[in-house]
Amino acid sequence: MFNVTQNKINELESIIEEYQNQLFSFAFFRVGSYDTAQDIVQDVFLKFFQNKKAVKSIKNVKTYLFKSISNACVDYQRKYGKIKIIDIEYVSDKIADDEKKCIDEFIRIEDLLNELPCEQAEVLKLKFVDGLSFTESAEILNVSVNTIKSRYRYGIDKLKQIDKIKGEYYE
Amino acid sequence: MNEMIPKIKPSAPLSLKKNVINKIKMERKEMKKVTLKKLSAVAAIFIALMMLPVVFSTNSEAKAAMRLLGESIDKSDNLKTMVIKFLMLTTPNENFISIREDGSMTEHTFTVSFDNPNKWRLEKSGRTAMFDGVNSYMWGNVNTHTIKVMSNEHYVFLEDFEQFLEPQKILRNEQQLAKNDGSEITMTETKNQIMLTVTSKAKGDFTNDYSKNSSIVESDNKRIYTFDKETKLLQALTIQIFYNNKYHTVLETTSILYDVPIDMNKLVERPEGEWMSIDKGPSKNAALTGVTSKEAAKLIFTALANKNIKPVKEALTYYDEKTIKEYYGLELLEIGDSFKSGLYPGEFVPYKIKFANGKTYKGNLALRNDNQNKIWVVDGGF
Repeated sequence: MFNVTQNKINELESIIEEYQNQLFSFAFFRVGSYDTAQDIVQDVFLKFFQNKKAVKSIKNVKTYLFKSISNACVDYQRKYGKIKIIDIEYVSDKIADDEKKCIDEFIRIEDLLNELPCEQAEVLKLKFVDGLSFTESAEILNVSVNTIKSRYRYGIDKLKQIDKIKGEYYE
Repeated sequence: MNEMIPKIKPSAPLSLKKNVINKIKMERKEMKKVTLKKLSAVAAIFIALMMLPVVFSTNSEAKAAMRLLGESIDKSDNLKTMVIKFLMLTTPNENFISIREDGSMTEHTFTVSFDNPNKWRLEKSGRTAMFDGVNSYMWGNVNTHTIKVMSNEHYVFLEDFEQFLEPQKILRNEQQLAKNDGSEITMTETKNQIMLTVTSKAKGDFTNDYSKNSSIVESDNKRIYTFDKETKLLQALTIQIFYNNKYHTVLETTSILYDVPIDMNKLVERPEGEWMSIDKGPSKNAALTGVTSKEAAKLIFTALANKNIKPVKEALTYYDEKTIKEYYGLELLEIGDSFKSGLYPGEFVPYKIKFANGKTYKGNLALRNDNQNKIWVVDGGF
C-alpha cells in the first residue's frame, strides 16, 4: 500500500500545507480539543494517502477531505458523546493562551447553537465557522443544496426567536 | 451578524504535517523490511489457491489445532529472547491495554529475555513498562503530570495485555479457549505457514456499553496467528475488533524476532528518583467505606470544592498534588447514578462540574473499592 515515490509524498505535503489549517479548525470546532483534532486530521491525511487508488477518482479534494474529517468527528462524538467536548487539559497551566482562547470560542459557539437540532447547528457551523459555501456544505453532508438552505433558514429563525442572535443573516 | 463567526481560529500544529509524513515514511520502511509482505500479486494468488480452510467442527480437526499449539508451545519454551514490534490503535499516553478508536496505529516494542523469572520491557513513545526480575515499573505522562509507579507483581501494568504478547501465554490461553470457550477457531494452511483465526465475543457486562471496545477483551474480536510451518514459531499476529458493522485492525505485528542479542542493561533501564508503590493500596478511611460509589463521589467532589482533601485523601492516592489542585474550588453541578460496564472491577459515576475558572466538564468518575481496606478510590475519569 505504501509503495510510493518521493513525488507522491511531495504532492501530499502540498495538499497538507494547503488545507491543514482549515481542516484542523473544522475538526477542533467539532471536538473541542487540540489533541483530538490533530489526531483526526492526521488520520484522515494518512487514509487519504493510503487510499491513493480511490483518490484518482476524487473530483474535489477539498470537499473530500472535509467530508472525511466530518465523518471522523461524527464517529468520535458517537463514541465519546459530549463528555470529551471540554477536554480536561483545559485546566492545565501548560495550555497556550491561543489554545485557551480557541477553547473559549468553541464553548461560546456550542452554547450559541446548543438549542438547535444537530443538522441545523452543523449547517450554521459550516457557513460561519468554516466559511464554506452552501454547495460545499451540501457535498460534505451528502444532501441537496435546497436542504442546506432550509436548515440554514430554520436555524437562523430559531436563534432569532430565542434572542441568541440579532441583525440580518443573508444566504 | 457576527455572533457565529469565531473571533479566533486555531492553526494546525507544526507537528501535524511532520507526523503524517514521518508515519508514511516509517511504514514504507517497515514494508521493505517485512519481506513476506512483498510477495507479488501473482504469488499471492497461488498462495490463496493453496489455502485449505479448516473449521474446527470435528474432534479430529480440533486435535490438529491442539497439536499445532502444543508443538508451538514446546518450541517457544526453548527460546532465549524475543522482540515483538507491533502497531496498536491507541494513543502514546494511554494504558497499554486500552484501544482508542480516535487514536492512531502507535508503535510498540515488547522485548523479553526468557530467564527465570522472565525480564521484559514494553515501550511506546509516551509510556514504558518493565519488569527487572524483581519489580515491575511503569512510567510516562498522563495529562499534565508524570507517573512513576512500581509493584512487585510481574504483569500488573500490562493487565490482560500480557496474554497477547508472550507466545507461550497466547498459545496456552488459546489452547484453553479451544477446549472450554465458545470461541470459533479456523485453521488455514499455506506451503510455509499455518494460520489460526480465533473469533471471540466481548467479555464483560455491557448493560451499559460505556466500556465496549475499550480493550481487546471487551470487544468482539478476531485474533489471527500466523505460524511458521517448519519452526512452529509465531510469525505474525493481527487483532481485529468489530464495530461500525465491520472488523477493524487494532493490533498488527510488524516483526517478531527470536533469539536475537539483547542489551540486558538497556532492558531494565529506568529513570532515577522516587517510585510510588501501588502494592500497599490506600490506607483506611471510614467515610469512604460502606457507602455507595455515588456517595463516595459526592464526598470527593465536596472536598475538592472546599479545597480541603484531608477527609478523602485516600481516595486520591493515585493523583499528584498538582492535578488535585486543578480541581480546587469546583462546583458540582450534576451527579448521576453509578453504573458498571465491561470488565471494569469498579463503578462509573456520571458527573458535571464547574471549575473555579467557570468552565464546565462532564465525565464519568471511575471508582473502585477492590483494595484491602475496601475504600473507594478514584481510578480515572477526571
